[in-house]
Amino acid sequence: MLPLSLLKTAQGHPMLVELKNGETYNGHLVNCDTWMNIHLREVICTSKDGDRFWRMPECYIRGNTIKYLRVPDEVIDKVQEETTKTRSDRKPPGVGRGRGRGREEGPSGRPAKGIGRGQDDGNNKGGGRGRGVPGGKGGGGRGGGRGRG
Amino acid sequence: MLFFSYFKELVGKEVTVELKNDLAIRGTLHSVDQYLNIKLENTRVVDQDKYPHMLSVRNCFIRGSVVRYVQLPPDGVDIDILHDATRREARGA
Amino acid sequence: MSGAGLEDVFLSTSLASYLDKKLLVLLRDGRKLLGILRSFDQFANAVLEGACERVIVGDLYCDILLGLYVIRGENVVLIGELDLEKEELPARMISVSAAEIKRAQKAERDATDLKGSMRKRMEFLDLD
Repeated sequence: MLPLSLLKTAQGHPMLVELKNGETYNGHLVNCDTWMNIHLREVICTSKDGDRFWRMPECYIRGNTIKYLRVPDEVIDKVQEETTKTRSDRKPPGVGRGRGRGREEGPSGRPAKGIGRGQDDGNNKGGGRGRGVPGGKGGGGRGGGRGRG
Repeated sequence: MLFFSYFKELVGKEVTVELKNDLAIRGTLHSVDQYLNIKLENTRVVDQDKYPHMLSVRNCFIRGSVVRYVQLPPDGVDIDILHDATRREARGA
Repeated sequence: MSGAGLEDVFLSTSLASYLDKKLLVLLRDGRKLLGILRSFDQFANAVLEGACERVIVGDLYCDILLGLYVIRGENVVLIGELDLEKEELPARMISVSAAEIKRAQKAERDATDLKGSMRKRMEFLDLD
């Protein structure tokens, strides 16, 4: 699952966007595109030094001005649910997967934690980027430390 | 693509990469790609005291766009080969 | 190159060999983020899970928990793999609370600002 797909999955969720200039925008993601342009609703903008605030009903941010986005922790779980849903259509997640796939070699690998990492969007001149990879733990139970600071 | 090919020849050699933020890192060149992103192994920061957070970093990926210089070993440049390659590239071969 | 084996991931410059590992990400604004790499793309956009910011002021430091981060590749300077065997920081460094590190950070910032404004006022002296 590519970073931009994760962002797409975060539609409807609240998030914080920090721009390169240090301003931050808090709001709910309405939509985003492949350039990381994003459309937020119910926005609070905070100045770089954090002492001035502006409210606005919505805003549109050009992707190339973004430094990073902070999204709710649940979104990565949602991504995994959706990938397992599409990959093993009717199989309920975590059931009936134990057999026969174990230690086979070959780059197909298991979908480590459901985070695919293809680079299927063309442009693959450099070769070798983002193929399956060993490691990654089994199903659930990711390490702790999920609280909000 | 000339410098990409050139850096590929240096894989396995010891280099120092100086970044635009003045951080300089020494290590074995593990790989480069077409963006001149660099991976180093067995890295150590030249000015350890100034960058304590880098203490336990042994391998790293450096984005090509933030590199200022790559310092090469003295035997890292074969001028004749480089000249030839440059002329070929300039001719658009 | 399409039939390449798994080892190629580790020979290439791709971030694939760093997936699911604990990493240090340096940003262009000087911030240091720690977290587990869950995804990346050709621009070095990266998803960090359980991200925290390591704030260092002198010999004081604090890890501030942030959560799930999507970092735009342009802002990445370096991604380093942390050697779990080694100490992450020199022994002399002291862990302090978030409130304390923010105070130290502000003090440091004020000091730099002051230095800047002093320099400006002294400019007529034609120093250096």
